[in-house]
Amino acid sequence: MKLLKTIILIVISCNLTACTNQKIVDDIKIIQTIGYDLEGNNVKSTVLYPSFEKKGETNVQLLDTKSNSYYDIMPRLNTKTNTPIEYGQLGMVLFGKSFSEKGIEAVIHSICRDAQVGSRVQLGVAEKEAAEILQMSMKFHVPYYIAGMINQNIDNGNLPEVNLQTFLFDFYGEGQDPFLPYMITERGKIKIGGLVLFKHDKYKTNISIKKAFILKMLIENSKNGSYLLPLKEPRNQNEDYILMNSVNSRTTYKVNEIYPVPSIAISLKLEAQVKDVPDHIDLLREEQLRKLEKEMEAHFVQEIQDFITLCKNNMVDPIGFGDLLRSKSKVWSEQSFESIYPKLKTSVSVHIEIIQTGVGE
Amino acid sequence: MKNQKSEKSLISPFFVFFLIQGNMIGVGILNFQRSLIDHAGYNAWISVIVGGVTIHIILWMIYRMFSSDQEILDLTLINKLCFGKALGLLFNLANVLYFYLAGFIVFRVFIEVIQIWMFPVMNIYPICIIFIVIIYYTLAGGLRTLAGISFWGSILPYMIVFPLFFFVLKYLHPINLLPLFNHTFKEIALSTKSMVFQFLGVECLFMVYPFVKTPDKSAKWGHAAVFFVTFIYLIITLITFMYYTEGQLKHIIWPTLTMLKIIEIPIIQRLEYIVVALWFLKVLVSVSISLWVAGRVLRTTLHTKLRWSLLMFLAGFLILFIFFNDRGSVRRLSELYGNIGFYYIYLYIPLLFLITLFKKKRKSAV
Repeated sequence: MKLLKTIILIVISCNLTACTNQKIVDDIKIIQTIGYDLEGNNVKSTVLYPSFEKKGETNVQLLDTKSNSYYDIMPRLNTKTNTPIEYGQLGMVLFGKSFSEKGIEAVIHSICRDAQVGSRVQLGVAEKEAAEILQMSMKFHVPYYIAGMINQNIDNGNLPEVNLQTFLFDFYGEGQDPFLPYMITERGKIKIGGLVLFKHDKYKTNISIKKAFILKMLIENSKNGSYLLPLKEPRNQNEDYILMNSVNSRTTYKVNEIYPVPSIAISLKLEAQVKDVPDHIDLLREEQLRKLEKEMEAHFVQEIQDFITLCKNNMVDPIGFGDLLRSKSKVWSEQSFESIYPKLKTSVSVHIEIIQTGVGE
Repeated sequence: MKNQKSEKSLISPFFVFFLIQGNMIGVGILNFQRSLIDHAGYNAWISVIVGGVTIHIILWMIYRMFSSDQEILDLTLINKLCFGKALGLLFNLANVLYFYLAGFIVFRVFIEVIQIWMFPVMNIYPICIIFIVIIYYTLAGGLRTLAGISFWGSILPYMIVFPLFFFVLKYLHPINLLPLFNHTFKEIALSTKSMVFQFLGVECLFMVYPFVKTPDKSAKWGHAAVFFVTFIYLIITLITFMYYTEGQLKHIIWPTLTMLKIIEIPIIQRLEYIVVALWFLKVLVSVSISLWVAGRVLRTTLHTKLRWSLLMFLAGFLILFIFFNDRGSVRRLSELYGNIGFYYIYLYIPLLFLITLFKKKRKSAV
């Protein structure tokens, strides 16, 4: 009996090693980036995966395939490789502009259903073709190059927090529209050109990285973003800008009226760092500092109003005014909000405090 | 009140907490949000509180039944007392089926989670058999082993899983919870009904009670368990509602696990795999307690040996597995169980309570 027990124990513990369903890193192709483009009526998809040939060296390889539906892309790609394809480590999905103009819902829906794909996957829209950007990123020999660019710019630049989760949140949520980073090319290099604003799942318009900072301020803490402000009274031509870095910001919304026309008061508090100013402004002098703050405030009030007008003209709502009104009224519908959206009244007040001015004079 | 059973087979009142919450929190916590929002939308967190309060009342009834009559030792005797010998036997057998079904559903749904999240292409029988062997091991040791397992099988997963939700805080939008009361009373009541499925398991006290050393002192632990479970469900519900928009939540089948996909820590990129693996312990506790109760009821009614009924139960798991091998049939079975459980909690237990109360009154009158 004791022997039998021991044998059973050994057999059961062998099971614990779980030597089944193995996936060894060297024997699979781990897709890290996918790009989707429209070619006629077909979907062209391009994937990047790393190959580890020598120690310490990474090579990024490219595969592409065409199909009438994007669903069978994985099996089609599989016919082109000697080892199975896995996409559990996917870090970036890039859409070509024409693809995103036609709508990306099918892809988003399938990613959202897939247990293998993480929520931190980055999505993006390419200026022309996704394949072009992917090809360009190959020469850096760094896996996740494009996703890394986006993440870096969220942490240290002007991009607002964006990933698959925030996209799905805005996309399926009522009263807000999603936005994605816009990837452009410049002299053979990849560059983040700003943000693409979506209406539902379709490309609507794109905004510059400077405008992206305005959006970032409006929806979250714009920490680390930077912004180049033109001065009102430049003394000579080269000196008409100041560079501002955001240290901390907070935007609060107050709904003053819901019916018949909603009116929302936006108040923004920004703590900024100004390092580079023209010589004629002396930041050590209190009244000059206050004057500069006032000038910046006036500029941002105008910029925010312009940005809201731009959104209204395109009928997109990346800031989430619809959601704000939904939370304040018991009867709210997306349709009625959309009809009232162009008339929405907003008043903006900005309070800026320059808290750091550098160490030199 | 002192227990007549030998000291060796008894558990301290403190373990009632772990047994009740161990049986209540099972696999439903991974996906209950979906059906919860069907009626009351994002006001449904109120339903969680309402549900918890009603379960407190039910638990109070169970304790009252036991303390009202010294003859009442467990559920089988209550049934006999209330419905007579023949009908009582019928009710006892129905109870065996009910608890057995409870164990099977938690077991089957968790196997489905493993299939979906971890091994989509693997043959599932080896996993089932290992699972079954571990359940047998847990139950063969009797209630004291079970109490020990339910202690560690709860503490370990909770300690690792619940703190993970702190990582999600950054992505929460409290504005989702507003406006506060835009659903009718009826809608909230309907959502409460779907929430009852998550609270099922409190009825295991019916059979655990006679094994508690000083049973009347265990009431505070029982209520603490119900409070704890309500609190955990409320927190998870609120976090889920703030993390997803309502439209998004309708597209997600396993909201709790999907939520954990956002966490990224060095070395381990995807934590939900670890959570599924850890949750195995929690599910083991839940399934084992249900099976133990089923076996116990069977033993006191038909005097079968616990060991043999257990082996029969576990073999039955494998056979039932053949019939419920796809998503649709599992869902239908859980819906059926949810409905039965609803009437069990809100009709059957109050009925027992009223009859025992009535009988006691008459007895004291005589």
